[in-house]
Amino acid sequence: MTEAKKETKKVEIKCIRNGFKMEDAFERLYKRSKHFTIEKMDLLFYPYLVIEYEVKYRGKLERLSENVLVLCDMWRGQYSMATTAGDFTKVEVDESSLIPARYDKARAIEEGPRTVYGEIQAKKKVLNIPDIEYIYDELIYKPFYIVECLNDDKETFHILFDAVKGDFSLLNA
Amino acid sequence: MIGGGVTEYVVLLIYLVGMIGIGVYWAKHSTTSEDYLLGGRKIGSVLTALTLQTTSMSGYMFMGGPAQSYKEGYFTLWYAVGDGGGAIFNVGILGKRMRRLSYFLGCLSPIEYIEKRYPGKATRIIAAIIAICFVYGYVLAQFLSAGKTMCALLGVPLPIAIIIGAGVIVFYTFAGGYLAVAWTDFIQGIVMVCSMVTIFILAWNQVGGLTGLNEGLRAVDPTYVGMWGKDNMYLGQWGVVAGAVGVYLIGYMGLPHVVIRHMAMEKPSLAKQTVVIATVWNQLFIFVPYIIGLMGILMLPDIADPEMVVLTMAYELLPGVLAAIVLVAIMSAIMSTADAQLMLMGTMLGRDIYQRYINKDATDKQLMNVSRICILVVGVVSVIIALIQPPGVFQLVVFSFATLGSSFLPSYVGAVWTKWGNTTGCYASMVSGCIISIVWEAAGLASVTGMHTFFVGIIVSIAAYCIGSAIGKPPTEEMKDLIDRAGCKIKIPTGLATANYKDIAPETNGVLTFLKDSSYMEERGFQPV
Amino acid sequence: MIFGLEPHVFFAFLSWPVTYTIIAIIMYFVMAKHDKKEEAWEKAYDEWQASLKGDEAPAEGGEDE
Repeated sequence: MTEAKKETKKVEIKCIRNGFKMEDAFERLYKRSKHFTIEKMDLLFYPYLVIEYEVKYRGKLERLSENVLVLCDMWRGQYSMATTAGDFTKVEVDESSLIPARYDKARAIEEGPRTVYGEIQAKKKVLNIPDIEYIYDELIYKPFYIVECLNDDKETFHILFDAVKGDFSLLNA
Repeated sequence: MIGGGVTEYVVLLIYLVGMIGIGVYWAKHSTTSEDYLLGGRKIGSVLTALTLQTTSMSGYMFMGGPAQSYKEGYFTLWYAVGDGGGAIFNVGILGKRMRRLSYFLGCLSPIEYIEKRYPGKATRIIAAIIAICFVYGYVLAQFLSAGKTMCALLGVPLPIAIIIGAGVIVFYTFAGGYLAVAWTDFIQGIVMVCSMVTIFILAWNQVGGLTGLNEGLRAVDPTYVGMWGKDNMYLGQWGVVAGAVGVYLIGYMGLPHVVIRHMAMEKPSLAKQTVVIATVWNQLFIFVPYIIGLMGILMLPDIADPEMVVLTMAYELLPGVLAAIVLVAIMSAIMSTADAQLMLMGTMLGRDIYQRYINKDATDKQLMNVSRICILVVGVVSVIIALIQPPGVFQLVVFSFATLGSSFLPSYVGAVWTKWGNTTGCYASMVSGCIISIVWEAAGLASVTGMHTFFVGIIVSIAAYCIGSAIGKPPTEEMKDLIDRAGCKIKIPTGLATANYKDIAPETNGVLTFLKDSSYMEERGFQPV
Repeated sequence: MIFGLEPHVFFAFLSWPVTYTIIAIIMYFVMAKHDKKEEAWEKAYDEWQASLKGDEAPAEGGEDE
């Protein structure tokens, strides 16, 4: 196995802390099967915009408010709710290892409340439309490993390994 | 005329009513065109195995096989040697892969399958024309033999016998589609084997077992028990031997009405049971008629028409009712072949011609109705031809078999076993296989060269497939992937493949598009995704 | 002589039913072995495809070996 490297411009990013180092990823993958070898592995960072909103909605007797976090996938433009902000760290990485945040940030902030409405209506059974105020946003990255493997017939396949939770998925077959 | 008594009529009537009952039952139970045409892909291994073989064997096996061994002695068993192993090749080579690929490509008919595997403007029309013409030859031959059998046995005039036989065949094929075909084939298969084995056992005792048979034959003419036929007529002709064995060993893989059975298999994994059941079944069924023919040399030395050897022996050895049942078995063999051909013609005319060239938006119901009407029309036309100008039955069967096999075998086998086999190869093989068979037969080259038409046709057709594929445009990457999938080419170790985590599915999609569009992989020395 | 036939004639014509039956039984086991491998693969492949489409995603599968 060789770790692929290429010098490019370094940038500092805010990133979710790795739960799994490369060695951990190795161990976890080899535990699943012994019928392959890992040839290369490298980091890839996936962009998310964390957007915080304050939600104010009126109950019958009192006014309630809470802060919620929306995660916007800045590559594909898809939204999801986040439960916690996560454990972040600042790291300096090769710029080429970042998936670019190509989705428009202003649009993400503007459309984020739709996800919040949906979530509130589904979970809290609140029928009136709450006021949702934007508070703040931050671009963060989630680390993945791209793993190149060879099967017993020496054919190449790739795995996407989630360096935070240790989940993995096949990229091609 | 052998039969013609009340017993024959009663047995035949009970049998025909039973078959019609099955047809009516399945007509009520088939609701979608997939149900009608492929039995909803729910045909189990026993049914697949038995229908595969009974469909492959027409009345030819009851009349032609015994008659041939009666005339030529042991030499004819070369055909049985090939036929006995046919299922191993047919199911083993095509079975699972063809079932999978036809499913991935979403095909119901064997012609649609050829077209999707070898996409091109002319694929379907070439394949459909060849298949329809020569499957039709087969259908016509079955109608003729059914008519002749009924005529001889029931003592009715030939035209009436042909109309009765054809009417029943068309009715239950028309009414119930493939499930009726499969189930009646199954019942017919059981009746056929039981009848043949019964005659075989009784005759076996009469001739004194295998040793008695062979010693008896040697006493009549030593060349009967030799390798090269009566009077050593094929002495040293290994080309004929290779043809006789090879043709039946591999030929079925080119017959659309046989390979459609693979597409109807419930699960690809059923192929293994099918191989065993079909092979054991074949050993029971295929060698027996030829050996009965040999026994006929001793038991019926003066028979006028060798094709009646099995029938005559049934009447010699069995009481009236059982003899009538045997005659029904012969009819059933003819019918099982005929209804499969009719079904195939219905499928091809419905899906390959009507849906493709006449009404592209045909609903399931329309398609089913068109297939049924086509079956009816084909049946009626066949009866008319059989009545006006009946051609020779066995020549028609052999010629149709040779042409269909030569035209389609390389394309069916190449479809699942090669990733390089392409549309040009398919065209070249279909056209050359068909033309060479017609020319070889028409010019009478088989007797001049000592090479069977089918054998030559297959060699030319395979060569054309390889050359055409080398020249033509290779299949698309998507098609190659499907062929890999059909062959279950295992790239990912199971432990990894079964551990896909759903939480990262969205990112997986995103990462995949990023990696394909960026230079990330290249910069790091990874293989492309 | 074997059953009244010269040995080469007997083996040329009549040894095949037994031979084919044995071959078919061997094929059964060979194909069964492949089936086991292939079924796991087919299942995994379908699940993977479904997960990429965002359909019903698969649960964690078992290890091999």
